[in-house]
Amino acid sequence: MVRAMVSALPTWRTSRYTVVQCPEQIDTSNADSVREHLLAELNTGTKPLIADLTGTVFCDSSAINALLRANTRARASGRRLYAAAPSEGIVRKVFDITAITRLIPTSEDVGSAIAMAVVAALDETGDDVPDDIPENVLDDAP
Amino acid sequence: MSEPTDDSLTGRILADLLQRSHLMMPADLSAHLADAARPLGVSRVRIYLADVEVQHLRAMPDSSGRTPPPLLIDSTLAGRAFQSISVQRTGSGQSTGPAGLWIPIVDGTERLGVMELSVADHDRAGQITLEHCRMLGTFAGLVITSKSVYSDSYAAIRRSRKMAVQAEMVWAFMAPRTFATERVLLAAALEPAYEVGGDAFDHSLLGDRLHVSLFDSVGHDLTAGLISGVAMASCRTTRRDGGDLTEIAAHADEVISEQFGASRFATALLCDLDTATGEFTWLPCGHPPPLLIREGKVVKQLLRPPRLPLGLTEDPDDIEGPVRSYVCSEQLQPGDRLLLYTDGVIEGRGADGREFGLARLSDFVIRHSAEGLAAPETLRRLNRAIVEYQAGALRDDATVIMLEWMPDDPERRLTV
Repeated sequence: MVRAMVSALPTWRTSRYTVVQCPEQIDTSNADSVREHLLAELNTGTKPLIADLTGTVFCDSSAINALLRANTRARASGRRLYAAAPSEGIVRKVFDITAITRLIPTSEDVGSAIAMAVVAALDETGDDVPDDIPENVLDDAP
Repeated sequence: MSEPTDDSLTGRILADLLQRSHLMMPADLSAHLADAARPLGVSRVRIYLADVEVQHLRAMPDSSGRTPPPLLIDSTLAGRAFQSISVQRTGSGQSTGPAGLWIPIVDGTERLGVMELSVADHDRAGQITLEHCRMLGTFAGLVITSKSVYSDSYAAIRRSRKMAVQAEMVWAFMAPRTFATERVLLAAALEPAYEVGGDAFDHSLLGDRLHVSLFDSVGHDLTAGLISGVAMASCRTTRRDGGDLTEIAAHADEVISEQFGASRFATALLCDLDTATGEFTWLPCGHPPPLLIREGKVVKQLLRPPRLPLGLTEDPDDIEGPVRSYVCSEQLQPGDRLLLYTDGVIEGRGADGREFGLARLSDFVIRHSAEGLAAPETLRRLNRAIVEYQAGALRDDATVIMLEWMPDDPERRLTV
């Protein structure tokens, strides 16, 4: 089978987090490359990683597999993986059926996922959460 | 000397066959059947076995070494005998000359193939009764099943091409595709037959409790086959040790994560049907929910909060909310059908890019069941429909299990 390779997924790196925008469709034809991209991001950065699935209209179990592999890698390196997927979409349905929201915290949109990631990171370091963080964070969002 | 009565003739032939069965070579089954059935006027017996994809009936070579071409199940008289599990007679329009009968070969309720009886004399063929046919077909089914354990004779005939390693392994592990008692019926269909690896199913009856499980590990390569194989084996060992659904899943988690690392998994439905009361209990492990069909309509998807797929262990610190049990339960009504399926069934794309979908799946089953088709034949046709929808090239394994609880209706068209 010819595999549609995703050579590079659009990625935003800031000092506090990284967002990877996932393809419109994730299935067996491109799940491996999505996984590789997420793993590569995890290998280089140190900040929380957010998989942006708000533009993904179809995904199957191979996408779940890719996210779980990335989550395991993130945990092993002391980082966290978050996901953004609207609650009415197919992606969220697949997430709910597979129960992976129990492993990968999932928000409605990218802004909320970033806020969740940044607050959790600050919690871990013991720093106080500055009042303006969520707003600043939202300004940075793609 | 007077002709023996029919009863004693049937008994004599059966006794003869049973005696022969002990030392019978698997490849000589048809010769022994022909020999023993000679008092019925039978001149030749030919055995055809359904191939793994259940599309063709493939002949066993006879003593001359010649093998007739395969017969399509969809468009031949032999196929009709197989589909409808009924005896079909050839040459019935004539009054003289040779005649023949096609007799389904069934083991329990699992259709294995058909047997062609050639009878030199038309009158003699007319005297072969349904009872004779049942006796010969049942005997052949028992012999084929019991001798398959130590011979490739039958397995080799049943293949139209070489099987992938993962498929060889998973098929060897799985339970038969049809099972029935007077209260419950189970039929399963699985594709791609020669490359399957990620999907697998199991079932077992213990007392009144029918356990059914369906597994799907990502992909259908050898690793997928290994994960499904390990999932199935670990579930069996817990089940046979008296473990309940929660314990079965917990043990599978442990074994899969130990063997394959923290991110490999198999989604699963682990189910128990109490065939006496109709109580259906199940543990959804990250798997698409069962579909309940009642009185020819989809009543509901049994969608409940799932636990994680098998093999993914939760870090208790990360879980929001209290630890809870995910075992669900639903009271079935007599005649209810449950469809268990893997995502490869509904997510398969057609030429126009559209998914096969849940509606097409349930419509197909409801329509064919309404036509009076038995569940195994409905699922055989559904299998074809799923493969054809994706133009023959499945991207993911696709499995469907139909479970029917019919405590009041022991009359089924599953035997001759």
